[in-house]
Amino acid sequence: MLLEQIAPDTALGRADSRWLPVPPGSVFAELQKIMPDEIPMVKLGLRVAKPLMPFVGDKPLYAQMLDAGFAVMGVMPLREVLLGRVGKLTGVFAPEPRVRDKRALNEYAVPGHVKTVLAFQLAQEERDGVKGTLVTFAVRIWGVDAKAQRLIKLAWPVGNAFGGKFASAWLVALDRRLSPTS
Amino acid sequence: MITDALRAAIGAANVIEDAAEREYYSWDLSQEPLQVAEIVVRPGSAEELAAVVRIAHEQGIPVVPRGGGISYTQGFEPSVAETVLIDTTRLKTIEINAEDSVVIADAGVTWEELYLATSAEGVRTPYFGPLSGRFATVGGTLSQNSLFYGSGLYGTSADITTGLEVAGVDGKVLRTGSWAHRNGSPFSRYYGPDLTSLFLGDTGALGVKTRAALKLIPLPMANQAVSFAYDTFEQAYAALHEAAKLEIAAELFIFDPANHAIYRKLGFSFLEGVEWSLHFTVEGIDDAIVDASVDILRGIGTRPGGGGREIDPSLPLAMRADPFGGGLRGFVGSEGHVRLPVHGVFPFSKVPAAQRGVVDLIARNQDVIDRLDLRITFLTAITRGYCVFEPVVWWPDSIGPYRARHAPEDAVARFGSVPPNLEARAAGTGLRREIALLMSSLGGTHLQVGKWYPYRDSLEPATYETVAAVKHAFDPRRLVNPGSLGL
Repeated sequence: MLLEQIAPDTALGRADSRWLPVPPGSVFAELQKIMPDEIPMVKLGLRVAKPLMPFVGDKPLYAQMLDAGFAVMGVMPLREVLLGRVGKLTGVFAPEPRVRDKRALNEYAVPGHVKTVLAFQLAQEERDGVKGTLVTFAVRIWGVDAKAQRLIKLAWPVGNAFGGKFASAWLVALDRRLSPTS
Repeated sequence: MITDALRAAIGAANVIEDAAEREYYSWDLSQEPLQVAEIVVRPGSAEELAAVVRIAHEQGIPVVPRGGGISYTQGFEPSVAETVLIDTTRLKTIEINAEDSVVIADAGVTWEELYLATSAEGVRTPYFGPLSGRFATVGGTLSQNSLFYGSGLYGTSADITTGLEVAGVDGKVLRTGSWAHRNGSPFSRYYGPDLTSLFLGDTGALGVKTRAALKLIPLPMANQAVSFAYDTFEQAYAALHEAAKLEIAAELFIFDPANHAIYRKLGFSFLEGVEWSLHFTVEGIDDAIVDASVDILRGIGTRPGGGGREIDPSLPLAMRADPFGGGLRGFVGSEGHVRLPVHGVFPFSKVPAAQRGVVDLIARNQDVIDRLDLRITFLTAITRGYCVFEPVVWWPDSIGPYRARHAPEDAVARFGSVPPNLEARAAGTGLRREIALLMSSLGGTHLQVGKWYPYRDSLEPATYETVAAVKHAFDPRRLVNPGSLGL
């Protein structure tokens, strides 16, 4: 898979999966439509942020990720989409570099930065005679240098817990859209 | 009487006489319906399909083959009401022979089904489908010919075909290429005269395809894209033309500002302020090969004086991620417009003239376009060795039975009950025809000829007489898709 090709062994990460009784072709299209208010923890945040920033939450989450600096690093049609970005753990309001492709992400080496890649992976899988798709939401994050990597490790327990809840909620929202009876 | 014979041959459940169902199966997306078939049949095997053709022929009733139904040139619309329409979508067998690099697919297999089945075995067809591949079938696509995914490297659907199996009017099944050898298999298109070509792009006029043999390649494990923004179509096209000749990109296409507006709503905000965008997708066995090609394309796209600047390549990659979802987006516009493409196939040198001609045509019709809320967008795409220039005409109208069944639920909920807008429809279809004639006057040819493009009038008489003679040899009573190709 593309994720394994790009992330180093030292990257921290997690993967969350959910089986859906639909063909892979339905999944990517629907995945891109999920709105922020379909994710409970984001919905809560929106209640606070919306009065101050009315535009927040008006676009699907996937679109907001692209707006936030994630770029598509690679795809395997109907199997995997890989998104990636470079950022800083500290100084979050500082302008951040935008990397356009996998090579740029690989080559980026400014100390203090971290690289994050997200993969949406699909695998055809039959369960109890029903053809479906195993959808996996996987994340890898690593520091450009040793200092950034140490910071990542310190922050990881919180990030891991938050990321797990977020990924699970996204997959549940996807399930709700694709299997209305579930 | 024919109904009884058909029921006996393929089962009563697969013989459809309900009026609404027959209408759904008989009309394509063109908004220019012809007749409604008297009977729709859904054979479940090549043998059943051959039996249907034989029974209809014995009783002197025309047959029309239909694939996924997502076409817009009346290719499967019956020209006479007394027609047996053959829905091929129950024919679903796929036989993958990775060792010989060939796959045999039933006519009713969709390109998405074929891609999923082959990619699970680590292979894929070189051209791997049209944007509408969630619905478009192998049989329908080979009858119409088409391009997009992989076409920059490998050409059209016709170019990857090594053999066909076709049911003739007498019920006999004809095979082509090395597949026709008594002890053979479909590894090569060529064994004596190239009979395969006769049936590619015939829009179902010469026989009914039951199975096709297509080439296979190893699944490319690396891919990347690179995109550029330009102020004018001419600048974007100059770069596209230069890159196309190298044959190193799998997909090459230009989008216009109206397409950008659609994609900005989907999150591609970097298209804000971009007039014309040029996109290349590159694939290969590893990153080193892909990166080298991307560097060459980057050099072309940003050549000094060429007017190009590099932009985020997320758009072509997102299209590849869900390659066959594009057909869905094309059904109904966000404001309830139906969208109908009209294209010309041109040598590279003629495309700028075609684009200027269409822009002038639009300017001459601007009053009507504004008054009736018509819109026109452009897609320019490359297949190996030449270019397809495709304006898309949009107008507000009722969405018709095909869109009502297959468009996204939210679009159907919003626009499913919109009444026909006959004035806008007349203007929209008229503009499409004017564009088609303009393209023909510039020497443009067409894929998906069907019963809509001016094939007969555009051909030299001696050539058309030869095509008619071939039709007569296969179908002397003109009972296979009469009217297709003007025959």
